[in-house]
Amino acid sequence: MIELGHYCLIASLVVCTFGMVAAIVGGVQKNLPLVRSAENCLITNFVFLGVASLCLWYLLLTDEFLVEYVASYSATDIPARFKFTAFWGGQKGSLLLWALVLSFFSFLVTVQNRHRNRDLMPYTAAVLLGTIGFFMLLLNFATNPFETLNFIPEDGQGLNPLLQNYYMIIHPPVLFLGYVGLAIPFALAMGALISGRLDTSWLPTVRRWTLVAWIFLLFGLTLGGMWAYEELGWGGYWAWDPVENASFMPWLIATAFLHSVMITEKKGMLKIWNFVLILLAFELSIFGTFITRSGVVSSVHSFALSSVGPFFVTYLALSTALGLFWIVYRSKELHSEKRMNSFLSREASFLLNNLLFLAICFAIFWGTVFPILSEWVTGEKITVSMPFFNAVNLPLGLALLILTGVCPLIAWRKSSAKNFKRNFLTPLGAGFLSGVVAVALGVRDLIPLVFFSACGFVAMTMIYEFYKGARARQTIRPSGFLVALMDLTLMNKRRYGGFIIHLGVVLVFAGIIGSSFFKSEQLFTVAEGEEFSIGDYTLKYEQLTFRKDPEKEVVFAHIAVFKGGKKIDDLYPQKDFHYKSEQPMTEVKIRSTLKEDLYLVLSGYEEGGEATFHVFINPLVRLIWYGIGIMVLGGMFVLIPNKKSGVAVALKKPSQEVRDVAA
Amino acid sequence: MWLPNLALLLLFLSSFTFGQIYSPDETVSRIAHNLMCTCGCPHIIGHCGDECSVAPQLVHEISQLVTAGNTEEEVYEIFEDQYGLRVRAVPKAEGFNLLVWVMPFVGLLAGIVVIFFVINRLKPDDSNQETERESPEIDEKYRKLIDRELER
Repeated sequence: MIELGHYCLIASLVVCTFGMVAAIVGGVQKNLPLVRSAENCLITNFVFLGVASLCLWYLLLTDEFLVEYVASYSATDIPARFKFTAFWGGQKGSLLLWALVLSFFSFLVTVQNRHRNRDLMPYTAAVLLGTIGFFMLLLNFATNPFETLNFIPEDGQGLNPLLQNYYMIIHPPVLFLGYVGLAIPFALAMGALISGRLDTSWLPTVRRWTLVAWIFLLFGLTLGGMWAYEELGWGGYWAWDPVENASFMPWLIATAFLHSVMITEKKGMLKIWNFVLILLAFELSIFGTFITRSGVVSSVHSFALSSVGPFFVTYLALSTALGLFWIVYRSKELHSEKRMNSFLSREASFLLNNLLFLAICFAIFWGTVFPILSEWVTGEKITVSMPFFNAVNLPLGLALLILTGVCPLIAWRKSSAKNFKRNFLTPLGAGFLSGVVAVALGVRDLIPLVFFSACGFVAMTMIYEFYKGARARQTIRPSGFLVALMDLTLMNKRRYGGFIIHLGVVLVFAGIIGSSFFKSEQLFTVAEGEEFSIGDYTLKYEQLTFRKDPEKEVVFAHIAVFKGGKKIDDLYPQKDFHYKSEQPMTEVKIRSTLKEDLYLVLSGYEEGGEATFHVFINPLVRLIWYGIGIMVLGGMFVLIPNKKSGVAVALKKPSQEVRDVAA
Repeated sequence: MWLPNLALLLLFLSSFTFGQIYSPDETVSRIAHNLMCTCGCPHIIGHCGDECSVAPQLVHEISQLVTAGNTEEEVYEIFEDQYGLRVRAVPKAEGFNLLVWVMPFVGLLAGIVVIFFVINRLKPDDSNQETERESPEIDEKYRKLIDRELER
């Protein structure tokens, strides 16, 4: 299996090299057999990388400790599911996973475009094969997962206990699906630029692939946040860690693209801008991988300082230069077909939306790399951490939230004062009402009040859009309101799926504000049988229990939870002492409701049974998870292909305006 | 001087996003959220995991310094002298490190200026104004619907 894995990696590199050359020559010479051959290379490559991955999984599951990677990240006593996930527990395996996922997506793109986007495909295939080839270079020459030791250890070092968690089974692959997914829009965009096929016919394919990547990135980021919340024991879900930032940045740019591409598809504007966004999103996904794998910045996620850094820097520089060259080269052919008429237009609001996404991304990028920059210039090591990111992103986030509500209320081309007033009245009223409700519920600080009001404003904008659309639908096809609403939503999944996503965004903002501004926490050191209180809860520390498991020792406390004098739950926060790890692990216990999370950590204990508990009350955290769930579902809804609408069917030749209305 | 002040204001605003930690004293809490833990982890003191034995000692140290009458900035200076510049969660807004605060907003302003000029430079697009491409097949019912939608 070790040899087979080796050979597959070598074969993959050979196939990538041949395929890339064949694709470029085939594209230039319009030689279809060569192009088909290159596309077949993408399919073959998936097979080779699939076999290589199966070999690594086999070696992990059979405890083949001769392999250095298996000895480093697995052990005989860890459960089989964690041996399986040890595949992405270290740098070598996670890079192989990157290549595997990319080859799978490339395979799908090849099949999807057998009969369409033919002009683009030779160069798209070349870019994809080049990218996979880069990872093959790394895996063959810099960080080979099948590298063997000079001896066979009796047992492996095991997987980091922090990674032995169900979130970690799914979080890295999902995040990788997002990262890697952004390579497809990049490859298609490069295909369009190189081939000179610069109309908008290929944009729907790019948009759908970007949306797929966007969904996976969002889901992956959320799983990471949930993991941090439940595993790290500091009561939060997002720490602005460099690796978290690195995953967040491509998502922000992908979001900006998903908005700006609408302008291009509808109005033929912002073509250059879209290419820049696609390039940026891809480069940031490579940058994110680089940050995690190279160890250039300190992070809870990053692997040790490794030799792959220079490879990534070279690839980043080359791919950026290539992308920029082609954008500049084609810039004259990418002029907007139409022009912007007014600041008070939906086009302008989309531009502003893009600017805010970019500003947030830049602020995060700047804060992430500034320590390196500062050290180069001043020679002193500095830190840029959470306070910076919170301070800078707070006003930008608020502006973005408000704009989420404003955009749909402004007409295309130009809004009249009359329309503006009529459209804004109801949502603004809802925003004001939300503020009043927040005050009535005890919110007194200005910042959360403004945010909650903005949430009310945006939520009402979205609900109002559904309402107005359904009423208009009823005038065309008389039916009940709910039937009309369903018809409308199903008829235009892109528009209304987007609104569903925005409703999710509102919940996420409300959850973040609630859990940040109204969080409370306290440390309690108590003896067995004693009670302590926080918020509306009274907690009774019943007893401390010790247990020995095959791979760890566990200490857990029994805490009875009372509210209003009535017992409502029993929680068992614990500490794990893995035999192979020097560091104890905290197992947080959470009693979660829509209103708040009671978050309980066993911080320490004495022989006599006295224990210290770190207790948090985190309001509205569930709204974040629900909101993101709605965003993911909304994104999936948009991916479902549209049926022809009633209006479109009725019109033999729909006008641009009709298409705009339908969109 | 407005830039360092703006940075301080933003830092102050950001401190609202945290609750109390370890101590009911808000100053201690705020300081603990603006200093890094020295255990080697990449977290601020207020967020260092419960396995960390260093963070509680640092909080205790902050508490003693505040009780002894030191101002917030003096506590930061004392920590900086003791552990180096890296102990600050965000560098002091002076010299080269002022750029960390300035650049995001310079970038945003530059973006706004670019958008302003791009939109202002462009002439209104007459070809886009009216209904030249409306199809004659559109019957009155749909025309009304479209007009209503466009009026929004």
